[in-house]
Amino acid sequence: MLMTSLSLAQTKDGLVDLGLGIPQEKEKSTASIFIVTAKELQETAAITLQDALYGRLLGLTALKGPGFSGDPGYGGYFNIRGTQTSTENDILILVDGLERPIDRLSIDEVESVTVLKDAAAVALYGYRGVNGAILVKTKRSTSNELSINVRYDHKFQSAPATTEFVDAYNYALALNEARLQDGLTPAYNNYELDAFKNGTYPRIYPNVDWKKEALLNSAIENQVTLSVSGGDDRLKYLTLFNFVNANGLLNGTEVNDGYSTQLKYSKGNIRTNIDFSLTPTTKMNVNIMGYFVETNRPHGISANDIMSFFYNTPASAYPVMMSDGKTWGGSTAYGASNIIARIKATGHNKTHERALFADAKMAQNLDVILEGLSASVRVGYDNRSEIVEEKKREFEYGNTRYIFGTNGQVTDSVQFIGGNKASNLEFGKWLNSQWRSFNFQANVDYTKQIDVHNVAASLIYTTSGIVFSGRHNTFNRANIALYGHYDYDSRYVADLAVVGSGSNRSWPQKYALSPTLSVGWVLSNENFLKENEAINLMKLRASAGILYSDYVPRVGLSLEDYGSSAGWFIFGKGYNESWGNFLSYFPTKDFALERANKFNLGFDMQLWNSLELTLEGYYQRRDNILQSADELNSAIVGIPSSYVNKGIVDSKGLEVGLTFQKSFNDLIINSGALFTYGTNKIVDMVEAPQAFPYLSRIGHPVDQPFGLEAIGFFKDEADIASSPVQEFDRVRPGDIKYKDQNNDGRINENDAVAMGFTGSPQINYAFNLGLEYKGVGFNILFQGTGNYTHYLNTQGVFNPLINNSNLSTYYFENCWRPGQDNGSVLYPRLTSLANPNNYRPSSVWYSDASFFKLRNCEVYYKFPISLLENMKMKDLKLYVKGENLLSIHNLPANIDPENTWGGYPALPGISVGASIIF
Amino acid sequence: MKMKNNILKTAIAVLFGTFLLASCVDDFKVGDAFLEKAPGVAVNADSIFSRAEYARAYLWEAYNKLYTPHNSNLEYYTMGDCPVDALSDCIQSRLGWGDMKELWYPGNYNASWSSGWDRSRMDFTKIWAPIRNCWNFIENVERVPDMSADEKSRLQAEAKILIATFYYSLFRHVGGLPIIDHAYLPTEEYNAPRASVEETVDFMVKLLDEAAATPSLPFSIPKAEVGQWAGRLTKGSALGFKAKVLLYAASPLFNDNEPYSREEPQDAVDSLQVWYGGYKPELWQRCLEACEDFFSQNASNGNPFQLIQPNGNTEADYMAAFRQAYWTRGNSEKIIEVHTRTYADEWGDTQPIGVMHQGAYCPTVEFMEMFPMADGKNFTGMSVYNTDNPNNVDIFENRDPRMYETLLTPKKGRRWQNYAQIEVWQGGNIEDAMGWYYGPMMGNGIGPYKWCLDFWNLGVDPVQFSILRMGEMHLIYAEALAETGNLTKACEEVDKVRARVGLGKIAVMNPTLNLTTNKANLINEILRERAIELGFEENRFLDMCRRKLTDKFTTPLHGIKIYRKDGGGKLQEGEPYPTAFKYETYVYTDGARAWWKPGFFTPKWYLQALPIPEINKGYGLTQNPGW
Repeated sequence: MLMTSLSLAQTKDGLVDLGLGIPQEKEKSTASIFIVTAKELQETAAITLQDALYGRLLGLTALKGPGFSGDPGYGGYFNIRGTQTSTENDILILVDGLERPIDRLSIDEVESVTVLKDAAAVALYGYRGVNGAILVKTKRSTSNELSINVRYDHKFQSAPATTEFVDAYNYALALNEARLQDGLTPAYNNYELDAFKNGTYPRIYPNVDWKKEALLNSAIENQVTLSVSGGDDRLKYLTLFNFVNANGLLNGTEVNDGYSTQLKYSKGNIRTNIDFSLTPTTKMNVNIMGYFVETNRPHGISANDIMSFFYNTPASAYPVMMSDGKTWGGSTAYGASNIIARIKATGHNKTHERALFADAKMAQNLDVILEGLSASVRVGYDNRSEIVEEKKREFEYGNTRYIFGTNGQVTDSVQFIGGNKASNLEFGKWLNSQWRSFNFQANVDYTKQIDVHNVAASLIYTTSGIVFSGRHNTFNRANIALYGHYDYDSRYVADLAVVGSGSNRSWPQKYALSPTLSVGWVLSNENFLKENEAINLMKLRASAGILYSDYVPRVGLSLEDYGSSAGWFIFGKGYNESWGNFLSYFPTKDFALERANKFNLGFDMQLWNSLELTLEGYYQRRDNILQSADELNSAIVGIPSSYVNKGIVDSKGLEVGLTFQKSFNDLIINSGALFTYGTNKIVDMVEAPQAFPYLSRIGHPVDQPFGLEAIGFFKDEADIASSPVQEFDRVRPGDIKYKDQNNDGRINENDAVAMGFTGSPQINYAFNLGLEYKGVGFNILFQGTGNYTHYLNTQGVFNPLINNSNLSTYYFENCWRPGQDNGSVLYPRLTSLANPNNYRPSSVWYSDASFFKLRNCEVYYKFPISLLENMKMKDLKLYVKGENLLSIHNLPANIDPENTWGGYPALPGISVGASIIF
Repeated sequence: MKMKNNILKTAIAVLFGTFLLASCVDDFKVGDAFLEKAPGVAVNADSIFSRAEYARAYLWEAYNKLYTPHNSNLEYYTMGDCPVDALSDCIQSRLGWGDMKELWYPGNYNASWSSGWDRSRMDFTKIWAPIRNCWNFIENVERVPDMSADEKSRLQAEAKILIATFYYSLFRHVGGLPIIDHAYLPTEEYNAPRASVEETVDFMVKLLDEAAATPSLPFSIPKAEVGQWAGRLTKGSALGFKAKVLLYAASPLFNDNEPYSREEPQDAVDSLQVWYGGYKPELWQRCLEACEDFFSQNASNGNPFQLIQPNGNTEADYMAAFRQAYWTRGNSEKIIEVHTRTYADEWGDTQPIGVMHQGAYCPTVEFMEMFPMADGKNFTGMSVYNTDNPNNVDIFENRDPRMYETLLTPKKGRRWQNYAQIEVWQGGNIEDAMGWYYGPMMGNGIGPYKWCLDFWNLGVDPVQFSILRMGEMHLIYAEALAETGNLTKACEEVDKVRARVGLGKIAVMNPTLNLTTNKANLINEILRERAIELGFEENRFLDMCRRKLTDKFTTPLHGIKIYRKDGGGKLQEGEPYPTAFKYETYVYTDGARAWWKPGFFTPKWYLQALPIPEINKGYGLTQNPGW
């Protein structure tokens, strides 16, 4: 078992459990895992566990996705040890050993989170564990004493700086310039330009600061938790209530009677974990967690959609409201997009999400039959559903354009009115999503010690069935596992797991047998180190396993697919369509499951009871990856090809974890650093024959970007005429000039070369620093990534004007423009038309997205015990926490590397709160 | 101990009870059964061919893919929302975003665009799926238990005609193709090298001959069945289409002493995949025989295929007859018709019809000039262009009635939605009363009318398309007759088509052309006649290619501006229709074609490029010359 200070200090009784109820002694564990406990998680200001794991677990890459905190799935998205395969890289997320989501889980109900990385750690989970897992353990009562824990947080959030866009006048100028360069007529005449510039007719030629109109500067989140635990020798309980509410950034949401259109989120969790001792040898655990969520938003538009409005709508597009003061602004080009109207005048959507996660386990000690024998049975049932209620109405919108006479006077106007007149609210409701799952597990466990020989064995049977809405969405799986442990004098350890797995997802190729062997050498238990005061633990371990994935590219891969068409053909003279049917692809009759060959080497050390070091090296070969053979076969076959087990991906990497925890009288230090470096490489794949060897994806990482190498911008027509032909589009001065990689005199797809790194960072690191002196303390956590590349194509920012989208100030100031010195410009000329020459993968757009972020920080004061005794408290802590406060990276125009497409941003937040234990 | 056991038993029972509750609606399964695939409708080839109804639906799906340029939802791409004839001298697209202006007119089309983009409709990869469906049908329909032997063989024959049409739709754009003569099995080697032009043509002809020789295939859809089955392929379809295929094969593009292009790469030339290797007069003979076979069998079957004839001899009668010929479904004119649900509605998802009104189909002055006068004399009104028009000649009056059905031109009494006189001139109501719908086209001076008619009164009757109709059949026959030396009879065939709209005999009305003796002139006239009879029916570009009309590709095209001589704009209340116009023609500068630049156009443009990824797969596909 990997030793972190956290695990040593905090995991009770020195045991670890990989989730299936088989406790292992930590020092003898041979699996590659890493644990973070409640204490660290509570340093964050996050309101869900999914948002609290950045930089916390060695080997887990957690990057923050965009969105409002009430959005389902809000928080981090994860992978373990990078990209492992070209197919499915999803990791398994377990709560108390069962597959469950963590996006609505409060941090207060979590005792620890463990990342399971190597074959030895995930072997018993069968197919689902192939990409690694994170295991959340919820809190239970550990003592008989009544303990009441109350916590309250109030978070002030602010709107972060986002991309700046040009004002209406500059937009109009830029659009004219773009259209002239496109060979089109200008969009605005000089009188209109003046009108934009001088603001003469603000309702006709507007200059709207949309963000200012639509967004507030601040938002809030509140969180209250109450937990009560205690019990007696036969029954222990922990009951927890967690209530969260959050309001978003929208402005003007309270103008309607009876409802608000603000982005809102409120959630209540109730958890009860109970442990019974039915008899001295019979134990029962029951865990029940239920929650209710309500969210609110303007009708028919998500938080991310709202943000994308700003990227797509320039200040000049239309006024907020027409001159009549009651018709909203809008136009044929932009339609009914007016964000202010959508916030104020279209009604709202509410969602109601409810879930119940329940499981119960009974364990019987069977010493009466055989000493060391026990058996247990566990069942679980989970479900979650989301119901949407909408109240909607429409709005009328339009704009006016003036016609100017020769002297610049307004002679006439053209008005456009579209949309529908506002009506009463219309009601609708539907079930948006639902899933349910059940789990069953039965164990027979045996442990025995004879002199220096320690033996343990388990036979485990698990089944799980999960049902999502829709056809082909029922996934049933079963595993039967034999697990054996042997160690000699706690020095030489060997674990063997042999797991038979079955799944209907990969039907008819249902079964696989996965063996995993891991060994460990606990050097610190050897005589030559046993007496060493400095070294508390030193362990070498290695694991190797062959696991399988039940991933298939298509459910029912081996079946012929049948489809039917709406039959556009109409026989006869009437209008009745003739229905048709067809077979849409070749079945794949014979295939094998994707296989993971995993190897891991680890070294753990603990020194002076304070410094811990973990080193991990891993190598994995994924083979038998299923890929369509289409690329190999001609189109003349007339039907998509079957799949072949052709792909091979290798991945390898190195992980270093360092923690230091020590108290010097009043000073407590608690710090650590994590570093991972991981790469992957496609060893083989189905690939169409390439015209040039450098175009092959083989030998590159999965999802390696390929693009053209830009060598500048065309100066003029003569420059174009004397350069190789660029075959993507008609080229004009100011367009990107590419390098002819193969010197064939033409630039096309064959000139694309590998560029930069992938969207999955090769380097991940994090470090945290915690100091406490006489009850005053702080914690700070930084997370960083390296060797990380993004394709910049944010609409309106790097892809401006096209499709009437906005124009970022940054682009405008850094693009090629006629009549200026274009020696150092960064971006191609302005264009109002789709431009396949400029806006395609090239070195202009692939950018280093490495970042260094201050994820969390906390300053707190813990009241001295002496003071609390008078107040009948056991613990009182006041704190201020910060999140998303600092981000250092290379991307321009306030683009967040974790949100390059411009979704609802991560809000910087300051949270104040108090935690009391009675 | 006893007590403890009871508790244990109860607890276990409760646990299992919960477990069963969780799945009590569905039967509870364990072990292997638990891991069975989820229930679904598993339909495969066996089930399709287990019932006649399913088997028919399988063939109807192939019908669904019959070629039509009017529906981009089908297997074929449009050329970036433009008709292919926007590459000809008849149409100049003004569609702002259309790929004519973006890609083709600037001369940027190249092999990279030949597949996977909706900018090239000649997509090599698109026809093979429906071809496979047809072969699958032919090979499996024997298994259907509840279908008569006659119906099976009839449907097989229909499938063969379908395959021939799919082949032709690509052959005409790229030349020789791989021969697919069965449905591939998953286990097979998929090797089918590109065949020569001759092999490809013979393959199509063989399929059509086999279909025509099928006794159960009716010569035409019997009158009583037209209401239900119009649109199905018949023996007449097979015989007629054979003539159409052979016309293309016999044309100079493939059938000449020289290959059409000597540009590199020449692999396809060397392997005879883009020509016959020399001039073969017998190809015209075969085309002629195919026509004669069609007409004689048509006669012996009681002439079910006939030109639609006018009900009287007014201009309106002629226009009505012509409209029936190109539009109405299920009449005697149609030899192969495509019945799709395509409406000429404003934002229809069926391009290019849906964007006609935005300038996808702007007719050129050159096209307008091809329409003769109502008496059959060729148009000579060009002399008044760009003059003050002292004699007040109305160049749009007294013209071939087909022009009024094809183009929207100034014409007294022509009404818009049956209430407003259309004012097709600068400042006339066409530019504003009809809103922006006609604006982009009217920038051209004249607009299209065929397919969109007056645009607002449509929507009831889907736009139909004929792959082959009698008007074309007579003109194919005429061309074959002319090429084989029978100029007089050729003129007679042309005259049959002209008589339908009241035009005089072509040779008589145009004596200076010496059409009964001057073959070259006659061929030109037949091509002109094809252009107007089949205007907007996707004919002209292909005629220009197969006849290698380089000068038509390289000569700049013209738009026209029509002015009222009195300087007026919109007609005022009670104002009579103006009698005097001026005509100003101009060469297009917006959307000027690179082909008009000296030296830019080369014969390589007659055939399109084949997709590079397909060539790279190395199964024997070659690139066409110049690409």
